[in-house]
Amino acid sequence: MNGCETNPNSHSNGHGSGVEELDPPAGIAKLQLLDDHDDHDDQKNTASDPNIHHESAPQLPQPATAPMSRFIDITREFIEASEKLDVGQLVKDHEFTLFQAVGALEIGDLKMDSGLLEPEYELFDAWKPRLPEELVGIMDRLLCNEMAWHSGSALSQTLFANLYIDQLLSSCPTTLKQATFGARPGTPADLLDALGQDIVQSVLRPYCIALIKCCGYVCWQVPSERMYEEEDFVQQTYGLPLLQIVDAREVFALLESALEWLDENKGAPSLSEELATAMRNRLLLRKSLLENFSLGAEMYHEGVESTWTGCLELVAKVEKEHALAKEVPEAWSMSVQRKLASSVPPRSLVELPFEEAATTLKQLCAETKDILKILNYAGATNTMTYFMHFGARRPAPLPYTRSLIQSLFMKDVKIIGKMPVKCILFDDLSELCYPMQELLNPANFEVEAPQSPQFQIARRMDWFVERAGKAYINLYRDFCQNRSRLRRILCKSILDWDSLQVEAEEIDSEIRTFTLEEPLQTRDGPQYSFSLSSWVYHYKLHLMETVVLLGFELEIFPLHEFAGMYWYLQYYLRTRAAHVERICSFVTKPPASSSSSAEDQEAYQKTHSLLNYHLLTITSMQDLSTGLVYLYCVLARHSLLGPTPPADALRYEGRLKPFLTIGCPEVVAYSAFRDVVDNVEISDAELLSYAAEHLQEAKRGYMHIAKLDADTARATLCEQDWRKNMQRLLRSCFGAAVAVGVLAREMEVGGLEGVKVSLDRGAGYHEAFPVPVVGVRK
Amino acid sequence: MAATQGPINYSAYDPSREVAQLEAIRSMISTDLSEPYSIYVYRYFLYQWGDLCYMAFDGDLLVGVVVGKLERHRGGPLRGYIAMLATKKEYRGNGIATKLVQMAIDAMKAQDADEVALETETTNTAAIKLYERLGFLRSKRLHRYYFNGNSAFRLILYLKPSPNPSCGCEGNEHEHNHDHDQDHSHSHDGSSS
Repeated sequence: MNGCETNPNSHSNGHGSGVEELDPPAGIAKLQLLDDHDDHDDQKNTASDPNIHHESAPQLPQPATAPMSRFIDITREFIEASEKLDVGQLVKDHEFTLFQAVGALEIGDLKMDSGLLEPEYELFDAWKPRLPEELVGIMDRLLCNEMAWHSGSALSQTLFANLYIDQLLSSCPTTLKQATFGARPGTPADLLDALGQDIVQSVLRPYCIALIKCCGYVCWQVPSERMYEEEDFVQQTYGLPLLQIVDAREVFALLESALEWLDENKGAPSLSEELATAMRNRLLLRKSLLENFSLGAEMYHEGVESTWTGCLELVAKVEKEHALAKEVPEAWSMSVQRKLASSVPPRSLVELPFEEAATTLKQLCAETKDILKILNYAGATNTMTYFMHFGARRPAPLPYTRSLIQSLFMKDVKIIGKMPVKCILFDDLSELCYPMQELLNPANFEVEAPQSPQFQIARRMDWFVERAGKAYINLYRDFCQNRSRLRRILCKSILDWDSLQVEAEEIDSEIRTFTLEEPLQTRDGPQYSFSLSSWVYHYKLHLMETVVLLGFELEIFPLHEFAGMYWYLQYYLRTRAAHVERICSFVTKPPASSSSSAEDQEAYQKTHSLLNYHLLTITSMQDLSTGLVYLYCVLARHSLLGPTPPADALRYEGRLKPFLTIGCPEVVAYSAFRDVVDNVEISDAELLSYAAEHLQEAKRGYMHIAKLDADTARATLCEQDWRKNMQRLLRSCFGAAVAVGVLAREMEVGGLEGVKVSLDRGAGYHEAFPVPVVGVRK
Repeated sequence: MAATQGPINYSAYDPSREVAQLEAIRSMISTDLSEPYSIYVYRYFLYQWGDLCYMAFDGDLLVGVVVGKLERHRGGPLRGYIAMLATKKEYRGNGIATKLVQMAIDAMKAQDADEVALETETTNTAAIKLYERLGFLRSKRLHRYYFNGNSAFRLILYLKPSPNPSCGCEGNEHEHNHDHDQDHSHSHDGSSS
């Protein structure tokens, strides 16, 4: 259960009644039924340090054995001791926390004690003859279980509740031979029944074994990268093996034998062509899934081809044939939980409808195939763009894919299997800032004379790789988390980027003394490029915008806070626009001399184009946000946003908590904030006209962006996602403009009596820009 | 919506009457809970923070209860927590839950709380409205927080300005909150917690 707490204060206050820290009277045993799998720390993730290679050795599970002789009956002592307590007195160990309390079970309570479930698995006859259509039904329902598990449900509520799988695994097999349905009762004389048993042995068993093996791979991959236990994926296997030790080739051979059996027997009277084909396709799909799940990041790095496309084709076939399936509900039972997970309450089985399961599987195949694109390195910005769009996809990518993409990106301290962190970091830096040659010159790092400026520069760049590199690489991982988690991570990491910015500024100043940079003469005096901290600042600002955008997407802001939060969004965007212009001013075209190569010219052009692209997207979103500030301001004025609790400085501070300590841009004083959001001096008509103008500009901006190519947008790896994103932003502009139009018209015609506003979060709109719909009562 | 039968009386939890009162509290809260709690969970709160527990009665019948705690959060602010809130179905929609929450908050304020927190399902619109009316903010979203796979919002009521904004790190513990107050009369599926 959730909640891990140590309570140093729990016994110290004199408030509640009679919590005395008595020494437990002799004989009281601590009634602590703890789920073995531990604390639910919010930071719980299995591989936060990308430099640690996690190799979970396949565990050899031991079936629980506790000789009865070790149990002692303490009932009498317990009753005697508890009679010494008054009503309202509690004996509590300081280590008995809320977590323990929540995890405690009352034996004999149906809701909590899985021991009260009838052990149906003991009565299950795996050798009961099955019809081909029943096999199809079982295999399809197993697929549903598997997809439910991929989507975040526990094995005890899905695959492990299947009694065939239970038969195979409950003896904790370490070889294929040990994974059986038990001893076969004599072959029945009835030919039909004999076939019905054969099919279980020859088709269902191989299918189940291959399925388990697939799960074994998934169970290894998912927690090997940053993934939050129980939030996204439940890796608990209750001490049962997933045949990790068994060689995959044996399992493939078993699948082959199943396919052969089908070929040999398809002429049989009860085994129609249709059903044989259906089973064959399911075996082929399972084989294909096993081939693909058995591929780890290293193999992809070496260039191994996947066959996820083949999987997709087979899923389509399997979907059509599902109509042939005959369900076999008796092959599942929740009662397995009494032996798998007796220390937690029983949980009902998760039923995922087949159509959903098929959709999920198709999603899994498609998205896993898609992430392989990052192996064709197209530069740092393109890679980062891919990850940002990947994380924002709906439906959200599955835990398997989210973990695999992290492995593909970073394994054994190498990016996409081929380059050091330094490489992608310097690429990102140069793509954005086009810093002075001296900073990135690889020759610097070869220099050994410490008094040489090149050496000094290289040392500081090494610092940058170490310090900024960590934050930068973590960003890629962050975007692989679920959106709620991402926002919480970013709220903390912007503080780190803020510190990094300050540190980088110092380093920039130091480097300057070695590069002898000539300042730019501006109205405000001489200005220096500050490449490193400029790069940091740009990311920091973008992340701050993302925190606000996620606040809208995750519905953290209620309607009455929209105006204020869109104001902050446009504030951060505005700041980034000015910053990009600043960076621009230092991106000077290299002289067309022989010393500057074509490469150099190209790099300059690319940076120039990227900065322009950023300006375009920033100003478009800025216009959209600003338009919305004005729109929501008018709506709020006329109390069209529902019950609005009083706003005050305290709540303002609470809302802006993640940004309060950021050095720049600073959080605005509450009174100033109120001024710009309430706009008391400006009339409704004026506000609506400003809103209309800004939304018009935003539309223009997004329509222009829509005409650009993926190269310009640095979205070559995710063009479709990028275009869709831009379309949805454009639609949000239109939707908002309609609202403005309706409001303006209603005001002209006679006022806002009877006007109602609702929020449309439809999929056609951008998730951070839902559209207010102004409804008019006729 | 059934009108209340009589005037509602509010009182603080009385530990000496635990035997009767705890059972009534437990019975009311557990009806709507999808995740079962042993008696230890109730005792954990009521024995240590019985003074933060308030009950609403219609005559002798318990019709509403709020259970909370108050402790220092990760060595920082003194944080109140609304652990459980429930109103009997027939009595919903009459502001009983709001009153109970307000009483708990007042008691926490009197004990110098810096803030009050709770979690509730993202779909529990009625609860969210109730708390927002009292000045709570949604501070984070917790993905798949509940065992039925539903997500939660953490809601926080700030009672004092932060003395030192630089130690504004949000709490990370998972604490279970079960809020049963629904203002709507239509039934919600039993999986809500």
